[in-house]
Amino acid sequence: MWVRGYRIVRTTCIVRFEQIHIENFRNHRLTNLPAAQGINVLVGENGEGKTNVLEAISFLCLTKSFFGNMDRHALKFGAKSFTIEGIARSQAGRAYSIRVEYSGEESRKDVFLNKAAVEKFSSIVGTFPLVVLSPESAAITFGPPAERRKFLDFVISQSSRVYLEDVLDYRRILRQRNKILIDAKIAKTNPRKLLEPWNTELIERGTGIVLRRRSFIEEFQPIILHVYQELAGSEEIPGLRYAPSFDLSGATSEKEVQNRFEEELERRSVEERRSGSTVVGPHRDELELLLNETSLKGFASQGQHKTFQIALKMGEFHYLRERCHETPVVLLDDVFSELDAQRAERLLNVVMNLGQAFITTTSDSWFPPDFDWSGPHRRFTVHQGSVFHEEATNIIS
Amino acid sequence: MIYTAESVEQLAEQFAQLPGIGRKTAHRLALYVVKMDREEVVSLAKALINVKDKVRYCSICSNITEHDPCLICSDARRDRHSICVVEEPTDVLALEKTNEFKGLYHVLGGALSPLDGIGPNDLRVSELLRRLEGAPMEEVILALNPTVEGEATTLYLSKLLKPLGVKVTRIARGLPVGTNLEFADEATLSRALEGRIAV
Ligand SMILES: Nc1ncnc2c1ncn2[C@@H]1O[C@H](COP(=O)(O)OP(=O)(O)OP(=O)(O)O)[C@@H](O)[C@H]1O
Ligand SMILES: [Mg+2]
Ligand SMILES: [Zn+2]
Repeated sequence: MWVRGYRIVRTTCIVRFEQIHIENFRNHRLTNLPAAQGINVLVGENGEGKTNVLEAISFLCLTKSFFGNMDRHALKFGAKSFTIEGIARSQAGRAYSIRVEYSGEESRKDVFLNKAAVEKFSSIVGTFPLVVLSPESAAITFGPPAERRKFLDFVISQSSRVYLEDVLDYRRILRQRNKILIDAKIAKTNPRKLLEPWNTELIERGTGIVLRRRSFIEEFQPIILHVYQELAGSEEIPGLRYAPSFDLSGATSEKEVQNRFEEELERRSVEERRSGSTVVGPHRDELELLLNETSLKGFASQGQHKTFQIALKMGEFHYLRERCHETPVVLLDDVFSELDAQRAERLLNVVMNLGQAFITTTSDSWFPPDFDWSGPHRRFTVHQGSVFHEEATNIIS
Repeated sequence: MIYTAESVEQLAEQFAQLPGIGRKTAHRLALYVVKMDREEVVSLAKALINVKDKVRYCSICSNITEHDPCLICSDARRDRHSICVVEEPTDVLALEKTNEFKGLYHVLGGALSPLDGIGPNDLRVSELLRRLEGAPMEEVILALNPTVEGEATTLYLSKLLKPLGVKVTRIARGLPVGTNLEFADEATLSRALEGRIAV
């Protein structure tokens, strides 16, 4: 496929980690994790280093921390450099090695894929796709609209390069346009003439984003319904409603949406001049989350919020697998502790069918006592920055 | 411990101000100058001063030149009925390498970018209008970079030029996103020139 002069190559791959090696990272001095193909449960008390293992895995997949933490902060106190290495294998049997090294003295990070230095880190993102569910994910349902736009952009970008480019261009156009507005506000001049070329670009790129978001949400709706009900039963019906910043009803073609955008931009021109910033466009979109037709916000229980967050993240997983033919590694940080026994068990069943997952928990009492650890699933204990693999036999005690 | 000489530090600092040169490279260059023969260093210094003294902007097209008007503007064999509008002198160089375009150029000196304080009055737009008034032109080709700023400038100029009755075209958007004309290979640029479309 060619998109604006780019050749887009999509490879289908399921890659699973077999070994993860962590050195001088956070409170891990030397940790070897012989990962299982299915579920890997990391059990330990608070502060023992469970989340740190997940963060290390995110370095392997994204070359950085999923929390957006600085590399420097991940360096073990007193150490000069950290290393994380993953040995992975694709379903077709191809072996991969990925290695991330960070030197504190030079503030320098190097990434090696199959022993070869990676020049541009972004080029390997997607080789080991990742879906993370952590306490931070709460922001998707509890946080401001920007959090939900971020979720939309992140998921759609992975399936559409054009969308990603539109989003990046749009941000730049918006900043340029807002500069004109704020300058005009200060100087008390009329910015109309200066805005003209930027309006055209804003509308063109913005319409691309709006159309893509609309069709994505339609496609995502049944996925969410399915996953949510797998977790919570069929009493609760989750819904997604796209609330764009201007009325889209009845507008189907690109041209129609562009016209709507333009009309609304014109209609609210006084307002934007007064505020000194662009008030219409996809940067003001909202994705409403509904439960039985009612907005989640200010109505749903903690557990329902949690279930919705899980459904969105598992939905992301299914979307990536079906749309992009990629099977992400799943990281679940502290997710089970907040669920009731029934939902925890259902989530476990969902996750067991996903592929490879890494799960942290302080207590595994929610696990069925007769769970079979001899197959593709493994249980580890984490204690003071060390990870121990317990053999299947001595788990039942 | 860093052992170094004050003059090396000063030179490195100068190099570091050049675009695309980081601290490390600047140091390496400065140390390289230390190793060079004196004559080599003198001719490098002379070359630098020469550029500053001799090169100026062409009073017609604003390209850089040692002769005013520049070699392109004063070349009688060039087609005087079409004019290609670009952002920077380096773009002229890139387009000339393709050997596709036989007309004249106009260098704007940048693209619209409010964030950098560049508005229409900061580009050589009125100079372009004056040129179009002065001589009959059949075609104006807008060959700006495929960035949001280049695009805004293309939109701005096409709106401005259309009422003048001249045919306004833009080069086809075959360039990979983010590739400036300066870095596009010749074949790609030739194709982009051939595939220009009316705006
Ligand atoms: N750069 C670092 N160097 C050494 N130790 C660190 C560093 N950063 C964090 N730690 C330690 O790591 C521990 C936290 O680890 P982690 O967040 O993985 O805990 P956890 O097992 O997930 O706990 P919880 O159950 O509370 O979430 C803390 O004891 C903290 O002091
Ligand atoms: Mg934790
Ligand atoms: Zn000239």
